[in-house]
Amino acid sequence: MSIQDDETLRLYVEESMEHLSDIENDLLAIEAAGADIDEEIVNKVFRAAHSIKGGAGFMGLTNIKELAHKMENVLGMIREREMIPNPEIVNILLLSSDSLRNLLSSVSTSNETDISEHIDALMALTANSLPDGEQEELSDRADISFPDGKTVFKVPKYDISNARKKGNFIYLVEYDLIHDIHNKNKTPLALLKKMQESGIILDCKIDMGAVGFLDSDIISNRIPFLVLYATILEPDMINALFEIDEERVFELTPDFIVQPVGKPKIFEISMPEEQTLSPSTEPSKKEITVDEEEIPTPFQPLSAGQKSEDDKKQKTAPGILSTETSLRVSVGLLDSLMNLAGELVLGRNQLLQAITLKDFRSIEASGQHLDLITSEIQEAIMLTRMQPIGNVLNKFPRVVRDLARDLKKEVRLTIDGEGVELDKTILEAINDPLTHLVRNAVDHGIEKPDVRRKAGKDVTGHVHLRAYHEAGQVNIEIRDDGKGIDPSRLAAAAQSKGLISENQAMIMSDKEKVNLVFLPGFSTADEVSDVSGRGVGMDVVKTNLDKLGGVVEIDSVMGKGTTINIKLPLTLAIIPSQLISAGGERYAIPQVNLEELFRIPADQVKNRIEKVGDAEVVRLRGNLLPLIRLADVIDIDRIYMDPKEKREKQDRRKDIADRRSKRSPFKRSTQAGRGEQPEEMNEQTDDRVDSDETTDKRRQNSDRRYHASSAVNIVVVYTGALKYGLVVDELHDSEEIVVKPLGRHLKHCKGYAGATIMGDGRVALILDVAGLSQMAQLTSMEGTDRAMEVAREQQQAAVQQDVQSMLIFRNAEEEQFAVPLGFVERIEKIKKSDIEEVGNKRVMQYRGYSLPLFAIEEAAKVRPLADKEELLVIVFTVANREIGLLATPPLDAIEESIDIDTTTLKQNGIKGSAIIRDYTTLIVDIIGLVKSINPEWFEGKDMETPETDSKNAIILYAEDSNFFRSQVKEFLEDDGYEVIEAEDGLIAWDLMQKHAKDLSLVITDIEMPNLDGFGFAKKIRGDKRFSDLPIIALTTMASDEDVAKGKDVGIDDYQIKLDRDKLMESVYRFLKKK
Amino acid sequence: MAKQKETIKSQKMVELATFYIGDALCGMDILKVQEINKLLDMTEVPQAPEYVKGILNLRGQIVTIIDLGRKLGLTSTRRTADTRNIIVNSNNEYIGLMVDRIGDVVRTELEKIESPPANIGGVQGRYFDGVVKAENSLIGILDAEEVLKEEEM
Repeated sequence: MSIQDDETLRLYVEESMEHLSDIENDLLAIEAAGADIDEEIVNKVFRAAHSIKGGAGFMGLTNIKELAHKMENVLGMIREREMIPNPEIVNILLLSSDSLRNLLSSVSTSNETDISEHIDALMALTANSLPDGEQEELSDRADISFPDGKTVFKVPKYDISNARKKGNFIYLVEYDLIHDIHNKNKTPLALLKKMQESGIILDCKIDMGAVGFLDSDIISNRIPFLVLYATILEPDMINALFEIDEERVFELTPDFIVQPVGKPKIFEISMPEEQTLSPSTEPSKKEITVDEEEIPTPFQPLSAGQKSEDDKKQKTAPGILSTETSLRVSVGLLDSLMNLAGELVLGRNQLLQAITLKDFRSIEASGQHLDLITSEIQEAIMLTRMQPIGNVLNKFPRVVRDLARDLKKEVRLTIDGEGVELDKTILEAINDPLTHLVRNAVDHGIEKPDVRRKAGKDVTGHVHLRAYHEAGQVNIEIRDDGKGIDPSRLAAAAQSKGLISENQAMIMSDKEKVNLVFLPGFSTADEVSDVSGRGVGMDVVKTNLDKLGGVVEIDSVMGKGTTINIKLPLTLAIIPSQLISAGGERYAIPQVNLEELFRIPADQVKNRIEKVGDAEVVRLRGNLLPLIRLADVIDIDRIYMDPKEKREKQDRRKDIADRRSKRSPFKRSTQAGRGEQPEEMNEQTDDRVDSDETTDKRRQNSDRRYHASSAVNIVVVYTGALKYGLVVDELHDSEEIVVKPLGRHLKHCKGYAGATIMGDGRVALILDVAGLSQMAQLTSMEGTDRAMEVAREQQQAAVQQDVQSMLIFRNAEEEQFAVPLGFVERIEKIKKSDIEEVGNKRVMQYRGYSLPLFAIEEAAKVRPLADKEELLVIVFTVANREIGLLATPPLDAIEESIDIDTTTLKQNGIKGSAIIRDYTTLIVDIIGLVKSINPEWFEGKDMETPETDSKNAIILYAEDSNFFRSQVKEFLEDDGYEVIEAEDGLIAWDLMQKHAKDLSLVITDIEMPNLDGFGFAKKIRGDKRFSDLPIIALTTMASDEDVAKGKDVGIDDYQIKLDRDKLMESVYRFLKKK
Repeated sequence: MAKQKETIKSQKMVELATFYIGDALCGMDILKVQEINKLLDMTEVPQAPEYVKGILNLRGQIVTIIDLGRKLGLTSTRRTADTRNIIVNSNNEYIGLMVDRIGDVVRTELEKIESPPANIGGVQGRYFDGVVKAENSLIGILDAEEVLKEEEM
């Protein structure tokens, strides 16, 4: 019995809570409307208070009943326009509704809670606005007794006369809970609801005296339930509603005498009374109809379920009820779930049958069928968890109103997209962060009215909440039109707190600065108010949202306002994720944290991964990304697939970019070896112990980097502001996984967000991206810090050195050579036997003609070409001819800063030397080489060069790379032009001013610091003096877009860097034209 | 039936599931045991406490497997054909205890259980509720909650 009691009570509490959540916003609307009341809204609130009161009386919750009743009185007066709702009145009503909510959330103790403060306030309200005579009635209570003299109710006379005002009759009805309700399959709540639809319940109670003792053998078969009811229905019709014996319905006469309805009496006096007192009121009949429509029944299906519920009811002590434990689900959804469950069973039967029959075709078919049903069930179940975000958003009008009042600001709140649905767990979890952000917007965002007026803004500030779907995520936007956030002040504060360095502050964009508020330990409000000291909680907001897999971003324009955007996943229970493996074990990374996957081919690893201090970073589209190696963070052995032996082996590389094992092959004892102990390991390097594995792993002379298995797989993940690359052994598919929690023994492991079960039944851990970064001690700022440091170093380096693309090859095995990649046309692999020696020259047949072959030693004094069967031919175009340079592997292309020493090792055919990958490398001067072997090829060329006027032509060449500048300058000077060099567009422009009259041609690079080629060309064309000056752009790559853009700003021609012949031709052509 | 229960109650019999950790024979109230299985294909959890052997999928539930030998400060349990997981339910969570070998179910009277000595076969006494003499050996009765307490890291 008590369980069913709890059930009834629980339903009541839930329903009342729902009423209350509506009340709040409606009260605010009433306040906004002021004297010009919207009757519908007032009625709605009235009814809500009324429903709460009705149920409370039934449940024996006297305090709740009392409070709701007093509220109802005040609302009634507002409805009758006897009282004009001003902010004070509404405030009292709001506070009362808060108190009601508190009472309801702990119903079991509600009767002991002191609510006199609210009662008094409400009473004072009603008393003040009443004529004196009625004031008395307020405190004056009437005893309502049965004809047999038993007093059942004590009701304030005021309530009775108030109820009579609209021509209502007042009845005292005695229900029997057992016979009238239970046996007729009704529920008390449903009955009360029905009664409220056509009248007002003034009071109700259960006559405990009549019940007798429950323990005794003779249980009274009657539980009288008494209702004092006011309705417009006349006595002869009343039984249609009550559906009980007439003799148990009594009528209350104006002189408070109770008499059976059998003897009706018309109260003529009451009619005129009504007309005089409330002339403006609409006929009450109509009102009631309106009310009916207004009754909030958002979840219709439940009332259906309610009916079937058993109706044992008493005011037994209920336990503390939590309304959060239940969820309302539409019956339609349940039906479809039921349907699907049936389908599932069917599918299983089919499958079982097919398996017994070993009918593989039907096994396959039922497998597919089950697959479909499963996903449908999953979707449907997920839907049951979805709740509209309005549940959370709709409490903000009150929050904003109260806060604005306290702060003496005027704020208008608008809400959009309340219907957007989110998983219940997420909804509950975003409540606090959102409240914080909204409070912040009002407290710190919106200015005081006078400040706003001065700034020329609307005095009333505007806060806008908006929820919408985007890309499978829910976005919540909190926008205010306040003063915005001052990025420089934030940066200064962060700096003074030592959170960022001065340099960082300088480099940061405004947006980055604004997002500094999310750093832990940050507060910018000069005066921290008790409401929300901005920054104190912002990091908490972020942490909370991070936990949900959400992302938060701030955009702010000074003086215009701030927009905070939150992105949230729809659900947490089943998440799409990326599977990876490390150390032979699979792991899942939630896709919300995933930005991209990329793989650095083995031959680029060394160039793209760099080490800064202890941190490894990777260059990704010009940005530096800190790297974390998963295996190291969670301390497992990296595994790689040995391509020769086709089995997995431990990878012991110390650095990703380093191909050698620096680690001691000492087998680490499982415990002692945990954690990095580099020093110890280095000591041990000498006394290696050979085991099978270590011998295998010994670095062989041949380079492993050509094996695809040494490619590095990086998962770029982000969590909040932090983005990093996670280096893993292997990348697998992406999959939807079900998140399962880890046991309590594993709570200390920060790196995991849970576990999931894979298709093969094994368990895989889900990685917590934020936790991993903490474990790797990579905090957001540190990461940026390191990356910025690297960037700075790179910049400095770039000033002195240039990043070059070079092709590295060998001639003799011991000597390494390099040639700028830009010169290379093609590379061919040939056999030694392909080379023909004709007329003392080496050629090979190539695409139907003879390709002349050279070796470096023919011109330069270097060791002769290694005698190998397999050779390489690097094809160049020199002097309009294709030539092949013989070389031997290994061949590699690098992109590195190279400091070329053009003196020490310079000789015929060798431009100079540089140290590339720890080797002294000779840089081949391919043109010089061919020239010294075949000088006659260049004679014709020289003839072409203009002899007279343009011989002295002065060319301005702007190029930021030293390497290219010296190369191109050389070509030009070789052909007899005079060259003025400039390191960037700006310098070039200055030089132009000096040499304005002498210049005959400008050659410019496009990508340059300070002023790029486009800007430079624009400047030139903008100056009348240079309107005819030809401009040739020299780039490494010319896309059609660039060419078009160049044409627009006045660039005459595009040439590819290092294509000497074409460039010369172009230069010649332009100069000749001139 | 009811009468039988009564008798058991009055005699305070208890059934112990016994198992071996190394050479030590231990027991546990059989009512605490959910099941015993030999699923050994578990997923290791890097960074986990050393006594956590891994996690296991037990019909959709993630079960943490604890190496009982290690947990009790003995040598770690070696995986052999006899190795078993005893699944117990503790605080609404399934936890598996990996033991070297399963023994018989032993019925004994509650009264025969004596308080544990400071040390049983090298295991600290605090892990035991008591000891009981079996035919030819001593059974240490494990205090499951004490064993399953998380250690501060």
